[in-house]
Amino acid sequence: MSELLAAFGTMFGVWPIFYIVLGTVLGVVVGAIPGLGAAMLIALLLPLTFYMDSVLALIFLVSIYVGSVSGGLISATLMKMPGTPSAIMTTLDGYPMAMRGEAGKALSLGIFSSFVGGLISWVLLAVLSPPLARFALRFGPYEYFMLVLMALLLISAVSQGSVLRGLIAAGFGFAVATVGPDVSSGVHRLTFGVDGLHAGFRLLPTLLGVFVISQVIADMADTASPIQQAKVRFRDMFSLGRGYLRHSGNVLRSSVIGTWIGILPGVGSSVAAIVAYSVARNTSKQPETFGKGSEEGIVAAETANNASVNGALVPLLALGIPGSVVDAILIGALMIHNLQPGPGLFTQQPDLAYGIIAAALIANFVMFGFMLGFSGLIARLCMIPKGLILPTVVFFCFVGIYTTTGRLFDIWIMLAFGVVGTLMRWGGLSIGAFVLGYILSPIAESELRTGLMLYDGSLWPMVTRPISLTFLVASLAILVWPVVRQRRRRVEAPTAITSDQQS
Amino acid sequence: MRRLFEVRDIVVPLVAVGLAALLALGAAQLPPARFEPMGPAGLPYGVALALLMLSVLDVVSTLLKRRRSRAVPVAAPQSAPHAVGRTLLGLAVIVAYLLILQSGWVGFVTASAVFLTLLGAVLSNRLRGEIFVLVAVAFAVSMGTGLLLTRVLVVVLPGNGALF
Repeated sequence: MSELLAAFGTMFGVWPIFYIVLGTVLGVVVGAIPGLGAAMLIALLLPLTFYMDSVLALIFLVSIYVGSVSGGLISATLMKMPGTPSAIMTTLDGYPMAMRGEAGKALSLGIFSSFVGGLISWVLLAVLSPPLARFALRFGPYEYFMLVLMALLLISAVSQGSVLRGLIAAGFGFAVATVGPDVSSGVHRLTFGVDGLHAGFRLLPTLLGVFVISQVIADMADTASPIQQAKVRFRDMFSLGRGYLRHSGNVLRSSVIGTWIGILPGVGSSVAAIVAYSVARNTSKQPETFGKGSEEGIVAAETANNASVNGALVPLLALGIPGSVVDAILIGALMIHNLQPGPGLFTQQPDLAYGIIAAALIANFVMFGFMLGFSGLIARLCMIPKGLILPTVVFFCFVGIYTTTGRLFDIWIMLAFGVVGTLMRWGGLSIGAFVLGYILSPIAESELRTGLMLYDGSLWPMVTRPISLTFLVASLAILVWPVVRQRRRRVEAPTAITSDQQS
Repeated sequence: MRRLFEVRDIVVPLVAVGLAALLALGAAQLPPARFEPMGPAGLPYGVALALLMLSVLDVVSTLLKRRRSRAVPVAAPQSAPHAVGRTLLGLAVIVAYLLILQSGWVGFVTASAVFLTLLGAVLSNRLRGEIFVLVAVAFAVSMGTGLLLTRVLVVVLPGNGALF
């Protein structure tokens, strides 16, 4: 507790506040612009953090994360275009409300819900992370290996397309991470004589390529004309009043759902919003209004997607395992600053670990104030033509890579990964699973090799050690569950047809 | 006639198999394990094996799905030809920019301003109304970045190292 209070004290310095405000504002604005998202912005700004103190860099990136997940609601409500994937469910009810002249109310519902969801999940983040990190210090190499395996299976299970395609994408990520120096023996693996690959596929070119360049390529192909935007008046943003209290149950439930889904390794805010929305519809007294401008729908989706941000920070800080794709990039940021992600952060870098927790709360307040005051203005920024935005984004990717690595070779690599990312999207392979595979591969390999050395080449302790066995059973369950579910559906379908025919 | 496979259903497992072969080929050239059981080739072999198994399972799963589905599959939405052309043109502009930077024919700011204008023009829906803004933004961004790199971050610019 004292460490957390000390972190709050530090966060109220000039520079921390500056970076939190800047990060949150940038996040909200970029999150509101369809086609640009948290992962893209954080990847784009990673090179900039090279020149920053590690604590400031991380709180800046976390503030962007908080802002961008919230910003998606603006374009989802006013333009029927979710700024971020996590705002997809908000579009279903936000836009119909805006079309019937309640844009201000829809936005303020979303903003309040994002704020409260962020607050509730922050309490869980602050309460859960330190003890979980202390518990994780008992983990041996096989426990960590199994945890990584579970995270990969989980992201594959919930990623777009089939589980198999998710696993193939994660396998591609593993394959890419294999290239470069082998930590134990020092030999260069799979470079095939290309000198530029001696250091492997570096983090920045890979991330910028698959996230930013592939997105730009997708946007190049998108020739849709600009959409009609609903108008919002400033005074409508404050029209909620006590009426919001009737959503308390929905807010609390969606916060818990969002935080829990965020905590699950690899599962992001989109899934949180979808699950919370579905639960809200199933438990609503007026389920027929969902999709036609239901306040409950907006509240559930926005509460859950913001709650998942803090939830996802729990495994990141306590275990060093990303709770979402953005967290995978944050792990990359930690590595860039020579920091070891994992439970050791709380003991070795308490200023950083508690600083991130404190910054997440402050960013939530900044997001709330900024979005309430400037949603109309941000919506107008969304209308900036992509002919101006996209070339600048590509240019800054090039500059970012060049200033950090000093090699044009890495820019070519980034471009190549942009094409790879585009092909993966086309092939139905999850980019999130690919990035998690790429980030987690070195951790998995190092833990497995340490485990093998520790136990004389035996894999048996994976089953005999209780925590490792728990993760193994969970992994198998994740793998088997989709097959069981599919079979049950197939069995139920003919039964339903038969009973229909009989009736 | 109904197609058994979508193109992507063939390409994805094929790419996975190709990558697995590449990994196995690279791993075969690595020295054997000396100080620990797994060695540097352990992970590449493991990933290759996993990819191979997953691609076989993927093909089997696609076949089973196709056999089960009675409905005629709906064709995937095709991109408009001009969208594909625009994407290829955009990529060509990016590649040309990198090649020019690498060759050092012109300075960083000039190359970047031309690049930003051209790519903006390719992506713009209403070029006539935006061209002046496009050129102004392109020049400002290139100039500002060039000065930041050379004066503040003291980075040697790519190519001939000159600003213009």
